[in-house]
Amino acid sequence: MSNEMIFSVMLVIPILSGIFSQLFTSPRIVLRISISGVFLTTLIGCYAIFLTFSRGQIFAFHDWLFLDELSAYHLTVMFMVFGLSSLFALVYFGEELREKKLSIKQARTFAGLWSPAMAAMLLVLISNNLGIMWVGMEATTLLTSFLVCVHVTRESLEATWKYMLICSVGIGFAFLGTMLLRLAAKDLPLDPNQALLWTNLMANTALLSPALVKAAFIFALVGYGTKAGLAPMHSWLPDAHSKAPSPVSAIFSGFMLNTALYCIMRYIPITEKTLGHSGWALNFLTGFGLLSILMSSAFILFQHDVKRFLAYCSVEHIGIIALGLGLGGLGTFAALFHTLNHSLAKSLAFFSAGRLGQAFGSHNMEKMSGSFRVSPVWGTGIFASILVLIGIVPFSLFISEFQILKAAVDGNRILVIILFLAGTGVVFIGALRYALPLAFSQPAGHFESIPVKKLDAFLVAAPLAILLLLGLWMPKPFQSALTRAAAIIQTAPTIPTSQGLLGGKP
Amino acid sequence: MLDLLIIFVVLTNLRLLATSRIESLISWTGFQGMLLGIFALLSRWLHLTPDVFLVGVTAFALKGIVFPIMLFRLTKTVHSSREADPYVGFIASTIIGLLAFIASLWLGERIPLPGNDMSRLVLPATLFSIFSGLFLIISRKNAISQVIGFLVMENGAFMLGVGTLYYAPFLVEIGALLDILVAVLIWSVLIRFMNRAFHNIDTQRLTHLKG
Repeated sequence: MSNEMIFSVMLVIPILSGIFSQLFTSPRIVLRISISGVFLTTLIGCYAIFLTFSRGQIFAFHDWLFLDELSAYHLTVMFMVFGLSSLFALVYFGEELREKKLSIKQARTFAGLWSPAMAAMLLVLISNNLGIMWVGMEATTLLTSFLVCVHVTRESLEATWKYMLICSVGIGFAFLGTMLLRLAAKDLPLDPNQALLWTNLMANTALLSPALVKAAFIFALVGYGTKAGLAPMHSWLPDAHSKAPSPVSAIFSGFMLNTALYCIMRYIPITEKTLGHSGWALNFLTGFGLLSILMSSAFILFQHDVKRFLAYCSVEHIGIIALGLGLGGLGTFAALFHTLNHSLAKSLAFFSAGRLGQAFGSHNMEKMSGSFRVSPVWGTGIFASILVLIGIVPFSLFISEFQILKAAVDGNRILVIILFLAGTGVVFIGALRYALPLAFSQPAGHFESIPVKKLDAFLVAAPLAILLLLGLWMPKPFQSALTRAAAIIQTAPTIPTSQGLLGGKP
Repeated sequence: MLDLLIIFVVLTNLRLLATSRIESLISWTGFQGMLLGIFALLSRWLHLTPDVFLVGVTAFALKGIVFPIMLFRLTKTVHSSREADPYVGFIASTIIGLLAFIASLWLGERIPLPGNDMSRLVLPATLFSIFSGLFLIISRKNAISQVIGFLVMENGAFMLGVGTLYYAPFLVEIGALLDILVAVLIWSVLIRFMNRAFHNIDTQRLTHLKG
């Protein structure tokens, strides 16, 4: 199979399955078609990922599309989150169908947008052209907006409105950033159609105009940062996450935020390399990261709605990833590792919260207490996932947080260490205060218990097993994949290259 | 000639800040869209290739004609013709706009554009359009005014794109225009839903989700 073939099939299948699903009149079939599109794409995607890690970068369409280790790694996370969330969508909407809460029209809305939304995120990840990457990012906002209000209510409309408005404005900023970068690359001796390609920009940083690159980075950081949910641009996030159906919340938190951060990850090495690795761009990320951690920790203490609580938790973790990127070195490695850990844990948390919410008829944490008795499976899911999210040993999320802390210690960043520990400490206590009654106390009334099904058990056990395994033992191939992905962002002149080359820098 | 067009764009921005009637907001945005379409064609007149031509014409048609028509229809359906009381008054908005323009001129001077083959006014005007758009979004309560704010912002980014790049990748420009088209479509559906659920389109009512 040629590279062109792989990329086009990966993009076309999810879109077609979304369209194809509209032809049917049974909600179950409609949902299944869209979801089978996701799995079919995953199969081909796995082949592409395998190719990338075994042979290096693959290019297609005059280099406009490509996969390198960084995008392949993100692609892996995306397929995991989308695969699990698709299975959960069957469970979640199956229950809504049983209660006759999902009309065929709503099922079609969901199915018609679900797999195309994955195609949009895929486009972001495989674009070498930063302009196309922007188009893909805007498309994710557009395609997911009606996923938030599958059930049209006043609250969901409000959430969708805020989501669309704030994210579109953010993405508008990112567009300006893209244009500024193109302007910075005006002197590149290349065919104009090749000038916005990330690989070309990276190869010619010496010819970029530093002032414009700085401006471009700031606009891109604020723009994509809005979509990623970095504080203080995160205000759309708790609303959209809490009002969307749970499978949608899971992909929002589990992967859409990462897609936006991925865009920033592409701008970091260009900026840093152009500015001679002065750490200028990294300082911004450290700042935004710390601010996100601190702001979310303050808000987490006052939540009643379990999905809002999880949404603020996402702001915190995106902050941690940004902080890791900002610290550089080991921090970059840990940030990428944290991406996987957070995505898995957060998807599980939203699955459990959503399924339990259906049983309790509310997402209010006081009304949801005693979830173990209502459903041992999902009760374990919510309790374990919150524990994982606050960084309990021996799960892998603890390891990645610890590595970020170590990166801060190695760099002697005392203030960073203090603020990071304070923020995560507050979240630790705040979350534990919610998690214990949520799992163990007496239910506030009589609720019908959820029957244990194999699929439910798998959805809880699979993410936890991966998180536990990675926490105890990191396989060599995975470690080398992560290192290679991190090396793309770092690009810092390592020890051997610094000999004799520094003097030649303009 | 190009400078004249840019000055017109700046003036439409100021006009938008001072307008209370939704219809005239829409018409002025449409006018600005047409200006930008012409700007896209003129700024590359000497190297006019088919793809450049197509970008200019699409921009003219979408920003200048299609979006205004869609928004006019929307205004009729939801019976909303006036921005009743914005958070910031219209005179104050104009004054803030003028100050912002001075600030944009100052800021635009400080970012050096490579080469000397483009108008010095492009960057300040872009920054001012972005500011005007953002200001409309923040200071107005009517949902349609906010959509217009977004369009004005996008117009600014578009101007930077076509005013400075001689050969912007065609697919990127067209992709961006299509994205905005879909965004406006989604907004009109959303505003209709909101009108049905809340019986008006005052975004001040959207305060249910807090904390």
